[in-house]
Amino acid sequence: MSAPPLLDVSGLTARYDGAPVLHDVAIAVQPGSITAVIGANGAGKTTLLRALSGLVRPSGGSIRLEGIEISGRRAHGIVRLGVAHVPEGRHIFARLSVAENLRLGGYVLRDNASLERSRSIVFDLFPLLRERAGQRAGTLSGGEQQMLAIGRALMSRPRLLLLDEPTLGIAPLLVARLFDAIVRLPSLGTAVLLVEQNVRVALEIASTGHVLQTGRVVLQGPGQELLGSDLVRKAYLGI
Amino acid sequence: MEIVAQTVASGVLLGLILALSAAGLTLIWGVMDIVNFAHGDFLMLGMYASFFAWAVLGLDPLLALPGVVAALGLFGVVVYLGVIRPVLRGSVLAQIFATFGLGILLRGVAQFVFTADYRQIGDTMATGSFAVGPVHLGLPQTIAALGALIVSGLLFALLDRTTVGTALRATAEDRSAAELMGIDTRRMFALAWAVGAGCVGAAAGLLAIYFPIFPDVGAVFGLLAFVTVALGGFGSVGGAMLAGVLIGVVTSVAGLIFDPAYKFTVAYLLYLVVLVIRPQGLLGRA
Ligand SMILES: Nc1ncnc2c1ncn2[C@@H]1O[C@H](COP(=O)(O)OP(=O)(O)OP(=O)(O)O)[C@@H](O)[C@H]1O
Ligand SMILES: [Mg+2]
Repeated sequence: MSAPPLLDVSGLTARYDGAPVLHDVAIAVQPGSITAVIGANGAGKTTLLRALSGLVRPSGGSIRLEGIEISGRRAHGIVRLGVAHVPEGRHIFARLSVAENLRLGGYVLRDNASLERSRSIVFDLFPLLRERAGQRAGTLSGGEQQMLAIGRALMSRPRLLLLDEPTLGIAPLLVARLFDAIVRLPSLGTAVLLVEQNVRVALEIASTGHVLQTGRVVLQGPGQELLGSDLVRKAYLGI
Repeated sequence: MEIVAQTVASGVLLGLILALSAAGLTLIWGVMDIVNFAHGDFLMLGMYASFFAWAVLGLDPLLALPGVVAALGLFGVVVYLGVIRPVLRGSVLAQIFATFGLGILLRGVAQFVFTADYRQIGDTMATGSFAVGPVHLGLPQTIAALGALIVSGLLFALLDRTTVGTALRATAEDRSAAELMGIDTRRMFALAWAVGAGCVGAAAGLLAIYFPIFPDVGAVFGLLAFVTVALGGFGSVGGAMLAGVLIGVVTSVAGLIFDPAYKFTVAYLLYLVVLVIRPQGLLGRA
């Protein structure tokens, strides 16, 4: 048997105003790995991540982080357990400075030394954020805002990072830089659960992939294997 | 010319207090999109607190000020927990009626308990007046205005320079994202009420140094605070400060030019004109 998973989701269901969106979803994330979730628009990918980080209260099932049940806890408590979430659409604090955004990313840290350590890790990953520290976050370009959103989430030194479509609407040059940064995260002690439209790259960098269709996991396996599967090739790669 | 300088000066002095009270109102709005229609009645309560601290305990209003600020801050948290939180899930109309009704209740209770009598705090530390060139300034008014300036500075420092202030601003901008940072946004809501009501308490305690105190005293000041907040831009503390001083001066000058009875009408007129030209207010975001 392999090591116990960092995140172990089983039987997860979620609904909005009674309308079910996730049905009996099971997903596992191994420590220090990249796990991808792909699926069409409206499949429930964002809802899945929101349920994991506590922004949506699941209607059933279990979410275990290193064996501890976290389902039903409020979002601000889940961050403290080591799960950070970069939401779809970035949601940086546009009126605050880049430095203030990062400071809040490290809100759960207790002392200045840990803050300083986190900052140097983030600046090492995204040097541009250091140059822009004093700038209002709302004035950054879309790609720069995405770097800030990821950097802000990393400030808490999470064991698990939930990434929702980090490359959506970003210029190709920056997309490559974002993926470069994402593949470095496991070596920094952060496992990644990645939701991506960019199916090919996502499955190439992921050790495991899941295909979500109308709220159900219909296929899962090693990333490379999924890339070769008929379902993925037809439905998501268009070949 | 001298009378104009005199009028502008006293307008600024009152405006600084107005600004502080409006800053409290706009802070609560900015953080949680709720307008506290009982704002003026919070001010009234603060003034009575000052009055009784003086009448019963013999405390000078300046010495009682920290206590009044703390009491109003606590009252703000109680109102948040007891009145606001239960209606947060309700409609906007329910929220409006909740604070509006609370205001009416507070005024009614004040009429009943404190009676409709006008009260005035006597023999305070700050008495007399002094001259700056041709302008004569009352010492009580000047000290109250300086106090308002200091408290406003503290408010700015809290919001701008501390982590908890940054967390408050983040909650105001994007509640879900703030939660994802590990910020307990319900606590931030309670804190916004504590700080917002504390600002009103400070304005009340300073105004009580020289202004008569009666159950309806909040009516005019409450209305002026709303005008100030809208003029400055909803949610903008800096805008409320600017607009407060502006309205203080405008009403003061209007009282000189027209009959004093119309001075507030001119403030409302200014407000309407600004709203037509710039609906988001002076420093508000479109
Ligand atoms: N706040 C909401 N209220 C009601 N229904 C919602 C809400 N958010 C999402 N939904 C619905 O839930 C379903 C899943 O949405 P979700 O955003 O999770 O999909 P997604 O896979 O992230 O899609 P996309 O690729 O477009 O981001 C959709 O049918 C959507 O319309
Ligand atoms: Mg989505």
